[in-house]
Amino acid sequence: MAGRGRGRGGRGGATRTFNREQLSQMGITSNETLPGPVTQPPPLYPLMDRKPVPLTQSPEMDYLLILRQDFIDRMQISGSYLKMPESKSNQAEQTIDKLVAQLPRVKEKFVWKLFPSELRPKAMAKRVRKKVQEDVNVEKRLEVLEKIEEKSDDVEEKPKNDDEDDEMEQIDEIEEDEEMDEGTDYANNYFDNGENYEDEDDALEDGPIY
Amino acid sequence: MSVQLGKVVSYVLLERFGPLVERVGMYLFEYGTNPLFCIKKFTDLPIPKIKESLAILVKYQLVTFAPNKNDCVANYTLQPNKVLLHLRYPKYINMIKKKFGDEAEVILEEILQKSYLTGSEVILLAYEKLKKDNNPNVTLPALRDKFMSLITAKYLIRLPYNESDDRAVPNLVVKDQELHVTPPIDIKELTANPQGGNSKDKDIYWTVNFDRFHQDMRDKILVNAFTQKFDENAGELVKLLLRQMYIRTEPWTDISNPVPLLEIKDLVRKQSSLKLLNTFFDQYVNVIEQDSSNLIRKSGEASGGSFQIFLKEAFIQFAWEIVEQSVLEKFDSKAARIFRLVKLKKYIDSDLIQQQAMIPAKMAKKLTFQLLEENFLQIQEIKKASTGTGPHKSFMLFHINLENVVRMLLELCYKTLYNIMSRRDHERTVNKRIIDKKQRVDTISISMRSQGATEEQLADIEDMITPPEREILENIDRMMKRLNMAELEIDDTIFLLEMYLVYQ
Repeated sequence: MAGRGRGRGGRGGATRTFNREQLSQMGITSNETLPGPVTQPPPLYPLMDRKPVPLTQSPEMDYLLILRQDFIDRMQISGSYLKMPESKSNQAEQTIDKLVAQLPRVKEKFVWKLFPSELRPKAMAKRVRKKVQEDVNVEKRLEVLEKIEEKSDDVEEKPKNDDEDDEMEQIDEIEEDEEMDEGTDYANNYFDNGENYEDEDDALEDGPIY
Repeated sequence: MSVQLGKVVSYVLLERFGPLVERVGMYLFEYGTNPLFCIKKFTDLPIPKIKESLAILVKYQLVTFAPNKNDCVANYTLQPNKVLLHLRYPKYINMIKKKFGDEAEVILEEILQKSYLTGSEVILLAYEKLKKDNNPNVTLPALRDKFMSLITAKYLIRLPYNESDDRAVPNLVVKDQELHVTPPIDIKELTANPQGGNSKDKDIYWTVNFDRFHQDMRDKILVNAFTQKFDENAGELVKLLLRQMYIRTEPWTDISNPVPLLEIKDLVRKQSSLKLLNTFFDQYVNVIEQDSSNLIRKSGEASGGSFQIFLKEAFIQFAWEIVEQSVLEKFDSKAARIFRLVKLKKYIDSDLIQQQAMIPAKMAKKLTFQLLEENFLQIQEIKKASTGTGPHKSFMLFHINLENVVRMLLELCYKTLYNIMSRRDHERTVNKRIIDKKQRVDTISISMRSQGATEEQLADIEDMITPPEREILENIDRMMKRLNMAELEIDDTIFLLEMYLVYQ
């Protein structure tokens, strides 16, 4: 309670604190008027106070410029320059662009030994997997055929034509089964490394195999 | 790693590798080290495209990889400094051309273009290119010799290779002693089998040793500095000093081992072109020793005296020079005087600046605070012990933190680079129609010429570009040239500033 009486300056009932003049007389603020607060952002392109020193031209500089342009041009036509995948909206309008687009796209050559294996294009991985599957298929098929042979041995009396039909049917059935199997082979597909994802559009773009 | 740097990196990637690689590269720049599936998740590009982009970035050694914890996935990291080096490629090529001639230039160009190649590949490619450029007296053995000399001079080094094949993420290593061993290249085999294929050096890849180039550029800066400050003889003396230094010292040490003066004197005597230097040898040594760059200092009196070379000190001095020069160009000479005053006094009160800089008080104050605002000066506050309260309770001392200023200038350089590049891009998009037209006319006239068209027909085609259009095209050309030139010049400044930071 005692503190309140002092703090509110209620003694003389004077209007407020000291004004600016009094403050400067006491040496609390300086005499110079301070600039007001800046509320605007600075201009985007401020005027330059001074002109920059001109660049020096020399034959060496010219040669460097040529080298630079050459290098960039070669990079842009090399296989290391990747364009955005073509969509309908950004198809070439100008004839020159169309001509450029027709140029055969050179694929960059890589020494895959020096890269993490996950970066290798699908073509290599795919090929390996297919082979394995085919092996399995052959074995299965042999088994199936064996079974069929055994069965057909049992029913030798049947006319040959019929027998063949039956055989075909059975094979078809089994094949269908297999397909179904692959379809529901949850574990196999689930633990795929995800490479099949969004893969349809680039089936042809996998590039050559090294 | 700053926003400005990021923007520059983005433009460099865009110009050389196209938009896809740029997207992937910029993702890695912003989010740091990341595995493949994170890149996929956030960039929203098809996986094969990301893989190809990453493979390109890895191939050009702009992205490095390290195995993840479980060893089967790699984490990728972008190296922004390597990307910036692309701006310096023309300079590397030009340097090699001057030092080793045209064949070496083509060899280096091919390697820079592909990032790394085997010896036989380089030689064959360079051979093809030189032949195409109508260079009749080029031979494979000569090219091989050039290639070998580039390796022994350490401009090319061996690329780290993969020893074990079975791991998902290869561990690339190269032994130190293998770095500069020349590969076996059989010329007979090359001539017999120009497609390359199974040559002897099949798996030995060579890449560019940027450090070696930077070492040369550093020496060139030193020699140029002394040539410009004194004369050619002084520059020559510094060049000889550096050459003798390399015999006993590692190239990147701060302070060299002592170099005996007698050795250099002998060298000078042998070269007839340096007569003047020979006569006034001692004077030149004295002048360089007393120069403000503190490059050489006497370390002993034995055998005519020997000198140590203080590269670090010299580059600190150069950094000061360049900072002072920027203050001068940005704020004019009065501000430069204040800046030098602060440098001289180390720590100085603002009142003292007003008195000692011999500039009207108000203006001095304004300039000081301008420099402070732009971060060329810093404030150090020291509390006075006696007075407890009031406005004069502490000293405000101005000082310069050179490393801060250098880093800030480096940022400014990146910003300038970005401005240059975005301006160039803007001009290109605004004038796309007219540039395209020019290209079309050019292609048509070239094809017509190859079909044997008459001069009249060719002139007709040339007339398809109207005079005002021609004028615009000339303007664009001029502007592009200036922007490109500025880009190359800025890179020189960046190099000098980087050198200072290297020695810190």
